[in-house]
Amino acid sequence: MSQEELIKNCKKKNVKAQEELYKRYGSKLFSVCLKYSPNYADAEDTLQDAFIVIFDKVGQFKGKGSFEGWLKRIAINTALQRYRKQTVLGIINEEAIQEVDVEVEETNVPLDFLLRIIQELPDRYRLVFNLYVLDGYSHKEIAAMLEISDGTSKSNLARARNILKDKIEAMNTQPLRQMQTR
Amino acid sequence: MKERKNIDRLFQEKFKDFEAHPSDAVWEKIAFAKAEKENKKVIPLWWRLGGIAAALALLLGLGSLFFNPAESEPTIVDTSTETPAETNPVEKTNNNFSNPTEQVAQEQTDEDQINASTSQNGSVTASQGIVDSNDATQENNTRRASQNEYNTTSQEDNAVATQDRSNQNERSPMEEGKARATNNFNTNKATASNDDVPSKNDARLLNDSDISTKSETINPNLVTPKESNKTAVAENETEDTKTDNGKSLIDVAQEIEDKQDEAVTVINDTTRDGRWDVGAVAAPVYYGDFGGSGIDPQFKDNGKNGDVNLSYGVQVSYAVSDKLKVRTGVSNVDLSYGTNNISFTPDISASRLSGVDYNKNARFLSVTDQVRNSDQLPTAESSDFQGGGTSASNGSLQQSIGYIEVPVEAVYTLSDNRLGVEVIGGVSTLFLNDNEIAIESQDGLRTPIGESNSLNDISFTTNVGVGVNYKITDKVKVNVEPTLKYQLNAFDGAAADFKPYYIGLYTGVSYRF
Repeated sequence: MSQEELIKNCKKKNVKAQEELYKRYGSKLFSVCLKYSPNYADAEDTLQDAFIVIFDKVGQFKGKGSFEGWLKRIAINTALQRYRKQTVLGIINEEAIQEVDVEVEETNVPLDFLLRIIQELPDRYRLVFNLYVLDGYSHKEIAAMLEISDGTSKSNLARARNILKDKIEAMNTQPLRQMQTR
Repeated sequence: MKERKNIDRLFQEKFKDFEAHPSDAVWEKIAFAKAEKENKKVIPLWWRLGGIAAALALLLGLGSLFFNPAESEPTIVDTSTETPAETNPVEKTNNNFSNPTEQVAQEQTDEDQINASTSQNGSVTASQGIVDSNDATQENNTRRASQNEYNTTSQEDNAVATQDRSNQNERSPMEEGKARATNNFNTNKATASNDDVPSKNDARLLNDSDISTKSETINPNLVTPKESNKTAVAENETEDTKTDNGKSLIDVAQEIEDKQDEAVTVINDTTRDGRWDVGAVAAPVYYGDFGGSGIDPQFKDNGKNGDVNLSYGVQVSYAVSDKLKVRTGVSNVDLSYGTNNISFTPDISASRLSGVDYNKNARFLSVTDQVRNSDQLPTAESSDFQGGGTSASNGSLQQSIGYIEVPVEAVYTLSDNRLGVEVIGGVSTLFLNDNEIAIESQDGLRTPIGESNSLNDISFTTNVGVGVNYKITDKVKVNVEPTLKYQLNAFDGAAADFKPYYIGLYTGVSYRF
């Protein structure tokens, strides 16, 4: 089945096509869900919800832009819906922090460690970090998506970077222990 | 080799080709949720009816409030006597319903016991997915079992259980998502017990029991359960008939789960995205007519000129589907128009206009269709002068009417982009709250003479309009709706054949939540 056929059949709610769609894109979208969710189980729930939406709304995909991009946006939006309402723990002045370059010493940091520390971020930090760094959204877009201000988005990102940096550096000094706990 | 590196780049590089395979159970859950979504098509009708019923209730409530406050009390009594009658059938059907549940429950407890034993054996590949068999799960299983025993012992408990089920509907989307997952999982257990279900789901079992105990406590405060109970009745009845046809127990169990899930997703859909809109509207309204006179039949051929007045109010709308919204609200409407070419003259035996209740000070004013076309004052030679000063002046009659308007309208969306287009149709109930007739002389002197006796206190309009809206943000939009409202029974008695309408350019801001 070509991609066009697949989309066409999915629009007709063909069960085989839907399953095929899941097989083709499930892993890709699950990686999105993993990044945006606080843990594995939640990521599975998000993936489930995202696919329900996809099968429901596939008729609205008009062939503009890539299909994968469209699917990814739905997965992201599903995750945002779940987590954007939850507030960041601890009240801090969200506008205060300035954006600066954060650098870490690169050793061979394993991917699943990076995923874990992303998941451990407070909800909003995690969303902002993912949207900005990994999915290339601008602060303006993020602000609109999360219903926050540009400044909050920037400061959330800066805080997320700092937390991640600390954790990476902590791991660099004690790589063995961190690896074992994983 | 250590090198300082931008943290963003580090993550970007690492995650560039990141893919992870979800467990197979996810697809099963999706397939399940999909199936239940396709089956649910009957239920939205409930919501549609519910929306209309709510709008009507609001309309009647407001009507009795504005119009006759004393009469509103019996209405309340009525509903309260109605409630027990409604709950009865629910209990009745619950009795029927309890049968399959019991058996399923029994089966579940059996399985749970099996689980316990398998986990003791330490077999990791056990079928039920209670692999992690931590204390909490065990506790949950036993709790579940004991709950099921309650079900078998007393019918009342069954009723409670069903209520819980409907209460689940009231939960927030997050919890619903979980509940849905749990339901799916449960059905997996009931239908295909040999399926390999991963251990992750255990955690959600726990959630399920937590949630159901939570909803028990919330129960009394909720207003809507009545409605969901009704839905439950409908479902139960269909199930009963199916059971009679001799379907297998597993089928029945599946159906029950399906129905439960249906209810959950339906409400899920309604609560997740903003279906409610509230807004304020204001409109210049122009009052016009299709013939007749609102004051006296003798003026029916006179020229009339409608004035432009202001209508303002609030409205709330509920989206019953993507395309269709039901809308109601309250607004204040001022209308006025002038009847031109009339003459008035003081007269001790003044002939009264049939449509007017005169003020004391206007009792001796005779108002007639214009007797003279010229604007000149009568000359000394003219016959008018001999009437002893009863010379007629020309002018116009101004009728002002104020209403409280309660519309019930259906709004159908033609296009829903940033710039949206809608068509609107509906009816409004108008409650009269202002009523005045005045004479205005040609030089602009205005004298109230009384009020109309032919205006109905309650009247209706049929409304047709086209709406254009612009979405400023996801939630806030600006609307402009030119709307024609044709009055059905505004006038009675002497002015019954007056056919007025008004056109408003309704402009407002609305907020979606």
